[in-house]
Amino acid sequence: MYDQARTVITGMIVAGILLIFLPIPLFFFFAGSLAYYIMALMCISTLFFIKKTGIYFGSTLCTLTVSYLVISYIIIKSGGVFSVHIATLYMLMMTGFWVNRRIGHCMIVVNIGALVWIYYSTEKQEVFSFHSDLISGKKYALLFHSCLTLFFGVFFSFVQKSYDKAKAQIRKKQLLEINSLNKLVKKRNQQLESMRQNIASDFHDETGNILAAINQQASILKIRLGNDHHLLPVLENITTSCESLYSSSKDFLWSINNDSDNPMVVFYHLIAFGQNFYNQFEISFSAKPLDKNYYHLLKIAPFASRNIILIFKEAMTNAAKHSGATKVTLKTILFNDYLRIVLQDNGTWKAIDPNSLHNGLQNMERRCKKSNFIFKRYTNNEGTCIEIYIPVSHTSPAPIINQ
Amino acid sequence: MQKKITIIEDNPYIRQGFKETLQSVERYLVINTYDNCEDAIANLDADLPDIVLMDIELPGMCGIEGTKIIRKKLPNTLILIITIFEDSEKVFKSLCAGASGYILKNSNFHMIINDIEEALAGGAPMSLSISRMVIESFQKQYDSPLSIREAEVLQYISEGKSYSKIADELFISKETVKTHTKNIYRKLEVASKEEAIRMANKYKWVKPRFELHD
Repeated sequence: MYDQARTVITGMIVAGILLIFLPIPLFFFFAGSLAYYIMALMCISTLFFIKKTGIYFGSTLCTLTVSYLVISYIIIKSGGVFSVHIATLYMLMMTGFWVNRRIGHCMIVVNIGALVWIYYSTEKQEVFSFHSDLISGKKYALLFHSCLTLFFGVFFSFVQKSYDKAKAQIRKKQLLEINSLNKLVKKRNQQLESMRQNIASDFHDETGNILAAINQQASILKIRLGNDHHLLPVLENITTSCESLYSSSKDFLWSINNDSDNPMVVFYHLIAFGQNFYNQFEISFSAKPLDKNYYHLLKIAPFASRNIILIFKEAMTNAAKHSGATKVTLKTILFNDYLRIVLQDNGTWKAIDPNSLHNGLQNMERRCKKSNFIFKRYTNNEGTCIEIYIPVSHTSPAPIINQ
Repeated sequence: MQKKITIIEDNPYIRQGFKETLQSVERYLVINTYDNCEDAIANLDADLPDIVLMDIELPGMCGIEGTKIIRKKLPNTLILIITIFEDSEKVFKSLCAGASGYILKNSNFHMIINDIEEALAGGAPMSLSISRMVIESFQKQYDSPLSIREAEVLQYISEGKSYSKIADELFISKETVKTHTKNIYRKLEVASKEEAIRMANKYKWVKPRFELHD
């Protein structure tokens, strides 16, 4: 259908333009050539009609019918069955085959009918009197043009048929290829999925347990060494390293198991961290995500999630440990092409050890710079605010592809 | 009086770590440690633990199955799951089986002691993703067995609020919030038992002894 409509429209445009210019020289010899402009007008109006209604089949048939009348008129006026304008009939039939084979077949019949009509409308009996009666006569002209019509008709029909067949075969091959590609993609996705699950369960069964074992063994040493020993700081370092490895592995596993390019998913992860973290303290923590409708509509740069998570883990830790806050809220606001994530607390960040704050803030700023986030930190009458602007792209929902 | 504790964990280093940590506190007595559920269940009458620390992935019987059996034999014993992650489906299933809470394997001394103290005081921790699994599980039932307060607490946890925030909003103490979560787990256990019996009846796995009312 799409193919056909496209062919018709292209044909109409080209034919319309050619029909405006080509009859001009003919006009100097034969005034009736002006009638070709009716065909040009038909082509242009058909194009407008198709554009407005989308119906192309009926309008094409209408144009073809009018063309027959115009061409037959020109032929009859320019010498009937002997006219050179009869060539236009073959041209018209060819365009018919171009639209589709069935129309082409009809046009073989219509052409012969038109020839018969032209034959009876021809007043002259013969062209050249010096030829034999048989080949210069009206009857011979009719017979000749009917044979030529049949020849072109059958020829176009078969050429078109083999062309259609080849096209269908190519399409079939393409479909097969698409199917096999789809299957491959599906298989690959399944492999990826099982790989992800394997990584997660491997961590759970192996790495996680080993890490916990190291940590627990360090605990044993601490207990056995008692309080006052110069080895305690070393053990403390082992414990801290274990904990940070555990937490970064957890984030890594989270990112491979979740859609971490979706800022809403990242935000929920931050909420879960904040809730779990602030449950250890007497800190009232709550969060306000974007409306659920945005869930599938926003995307952040790949790998941006890691920095977002690390920045806010740092910020949330600072708020709890150094600012003396008792109330922390995390919220997200959509602002044009930026997603703002705001951490508001009711504490003061100034009152803490300047060295450790400096480091924390510097880390946050460095991470923001690396990911093209805008970093803001300010105090308001409620307390301290940490805010980052993350560039987001708006995605339309995935289109539904009909099989 | 000392609380008697049994540890079931197949990794010897982790097992030893928990044992020494707990033994260093006078209140606790580690009565026995096991690397599998079967031995622990066989010795249950002799050990009579007040608290069982239970790993999930174990050779032979898994921790979820073990939890069910111990809950049946010693209904007053607290079972705490020791796990790598607090958010797994397996942790949720253990809570459905009757566990009262969970302790992370990577916890330090203070966290382990703190988690056990809280469990003894009648509280239970609940993470955001566990709360969502709980909500989903109760949504499958025709009428929720939860009280209005419990439903509120569950809802607030699933929104990401901390215990202090929930306590502030509902004008209750942080401890009460944790007691509510513990009761939610108990109702979850009952609900999943009923669900199991309903399924078993439906598919005729067991001979129905009594009819359940919907």
